[in-house]
Amino acid sequence: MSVGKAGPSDFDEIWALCDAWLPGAWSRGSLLDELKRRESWVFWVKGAGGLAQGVLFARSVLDEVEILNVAVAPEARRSGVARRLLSAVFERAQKEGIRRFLLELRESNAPAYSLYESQGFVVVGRRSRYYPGGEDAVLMTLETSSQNARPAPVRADVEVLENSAEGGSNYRLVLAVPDWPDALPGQFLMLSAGARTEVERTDPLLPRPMAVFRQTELRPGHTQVEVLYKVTGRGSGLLSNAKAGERLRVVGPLGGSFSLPPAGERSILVGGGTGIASLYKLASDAGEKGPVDVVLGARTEVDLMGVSRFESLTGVTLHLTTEDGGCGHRGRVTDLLPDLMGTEPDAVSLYTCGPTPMMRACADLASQAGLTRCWVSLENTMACGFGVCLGCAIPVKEGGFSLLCRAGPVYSASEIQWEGLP
Amino acid sequence: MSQKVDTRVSFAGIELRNPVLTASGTFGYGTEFEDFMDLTRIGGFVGKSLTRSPRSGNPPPRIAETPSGMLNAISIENIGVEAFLEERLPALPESVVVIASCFGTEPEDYAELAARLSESPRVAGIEVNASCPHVKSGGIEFGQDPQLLGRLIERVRAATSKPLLAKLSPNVSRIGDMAKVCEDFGADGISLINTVQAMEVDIKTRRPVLSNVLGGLSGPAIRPIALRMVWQASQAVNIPICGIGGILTAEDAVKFLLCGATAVQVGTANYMNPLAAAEIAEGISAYAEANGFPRVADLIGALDLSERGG
Repeated sequence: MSVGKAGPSDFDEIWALCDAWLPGAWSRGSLLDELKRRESWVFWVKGAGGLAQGVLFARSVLDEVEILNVAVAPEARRSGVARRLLSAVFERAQKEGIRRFLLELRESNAPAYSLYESQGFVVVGRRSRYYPGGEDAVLMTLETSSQNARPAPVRADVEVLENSAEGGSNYRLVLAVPDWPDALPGQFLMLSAGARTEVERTDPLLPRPMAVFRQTELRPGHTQVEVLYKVTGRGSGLLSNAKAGERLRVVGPLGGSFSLPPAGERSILVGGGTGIASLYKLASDAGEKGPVDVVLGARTEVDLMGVSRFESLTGVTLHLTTEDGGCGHRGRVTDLLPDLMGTEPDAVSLYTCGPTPMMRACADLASQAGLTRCWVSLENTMACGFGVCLGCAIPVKEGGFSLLCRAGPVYSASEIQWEGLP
Repeated sequence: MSQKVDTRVSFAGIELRNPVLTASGTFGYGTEFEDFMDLTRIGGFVGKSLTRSPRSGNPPPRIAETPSGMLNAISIENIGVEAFLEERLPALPESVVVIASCFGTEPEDYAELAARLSESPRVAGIEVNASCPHVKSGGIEFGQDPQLLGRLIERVRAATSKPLLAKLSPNVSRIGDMAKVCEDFGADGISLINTVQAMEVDIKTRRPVLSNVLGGLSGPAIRPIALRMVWQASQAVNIPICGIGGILTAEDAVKFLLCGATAVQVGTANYMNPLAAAEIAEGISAYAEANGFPRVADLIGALDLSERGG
């Protein structure tokens, strides 16, 4: 099953399914106009053999999106098609800063009602005898919480408070950042590769993207921001030489964030290597909404980072895996996933950050189990982090490229064209 | 003595509040930097090169770090001229000087773009990208052949009455000749240099690091080359020059002014430091003040070539 955005070139196929499933909703002319409109959001799902299984029409006005119609092929009902279409809407909405969704539906449409309700929509009104035949329309809205509003980033030369070896080639860096707006779960910052001196450093030239790990207030106006990194080359090597009191340049917080799970629902967070940093705030925030299982994996016990930090979070059950069995389960993080996803994968959100093969394996397991809310946080080389160098583009399934620093680093697993990742 | 330095310069008919612009392709469409600074702290900016229709870029890897520099092969990914005019330009404060960059495969493409962009009173000038080193056709083909370049500038000149800048490639043997051609065919100013055509290889995979194989080198690694070319071009033409290439600090920018540049463009530095251009503008003013120049414009071409040891 794949979900994509439909445009004017898909007119014939979309018309055929509207004609069959949404009689009277569109004329040929109005459908073509709709597919051409800039503010129109049309998504469709294709199943095996490329057969269309569902279509969704929505329209954006400033920061609102109205969901106009959703249709699912009779043979594909109750297989998560509508849910997939809605996730596509939510993903795009997150990127475009949408704050509110609206829709109206027939009072008698119980399956649709329960779907929207499960996504957090609430009834805000009713239009009496709205539909032909006298049926009432129920009005529902969903306010995206302020979690999606990205804070304005800062640029600052900041003091190193601590830069400590954490086992293996892993380091934890603690910075005192002035005027830091709290980063959202999954956001990152750009960090100069090495301490700054009087002379502008030209080699290595570019800053490095790092996920924000912990952030705590240091004193009024200053936040203690932590990142985790692994020494892999010259830039990270220089970074590991930075001493307390020296200064590094920070630009951030940058990028989009993880969407929190629906209230009360379970989430599973899978982290590998330094990728666990991206998941820390998510674990903390999601733990306040519902049960959270965190799986942290590494090659050996010394490579495991941040264990005690995750352990102390509310609502979080921690599972550890090491490939040599030195700590926790012997094997890989994916060994634990099937049991954790359980029998109702549709009621679980999965989040993962770590080495690409690990994330891909998690996404594959999720997809096989029918878990549709699977989010991955990717990384890529980038020069700026805020959308101008265009260096961090990755190919996406709907065609073309997506700028990881702005549209990502968090993506729905279904969006990613894994083979094309650098 | 501590009288405020006059930072204004007049460049190719464009009045700038200071000589620091930002280079095409390194400053997005301007709004990306508003989180970090008030855009009126810089002289103005040159937008991402525009094509007639939106254009997607190369597959990854698109960039790579090299000693004191970086390689890129993005391939003029842009939103297209219409989206720029309708969506991006109106989002910018009125007081920001915007120079639009255009790119095409035929002189006709450039001319049409220039004409369309000239309809907007918000566009202060047009920069012709005759030098992108990593697209299959267009760009650098014009920038490396004086006859083609002359025809291109002539065609665009006829399409716009706005200040017209030609952005030149360093990938030529005689930059002065190329600059002269632009002057002869009606350009109001020259921007140089674009990136230096370059490549890098990963010996573990034995593959080129960029998917496009070839890319353009930018950053401090090319600064002395750029300075040399600005100097040579300034000897060859009477129209003003905008110096570009590896400017990271105000000191770097001052060198370009001394070598004859009327203005400068900051490029790669914007990536590492979104406030770079503003800080460079302020640093140039501080240099002028500290060295007894009442006007920043007095630094232009002030290179001392008198005999040493006097």
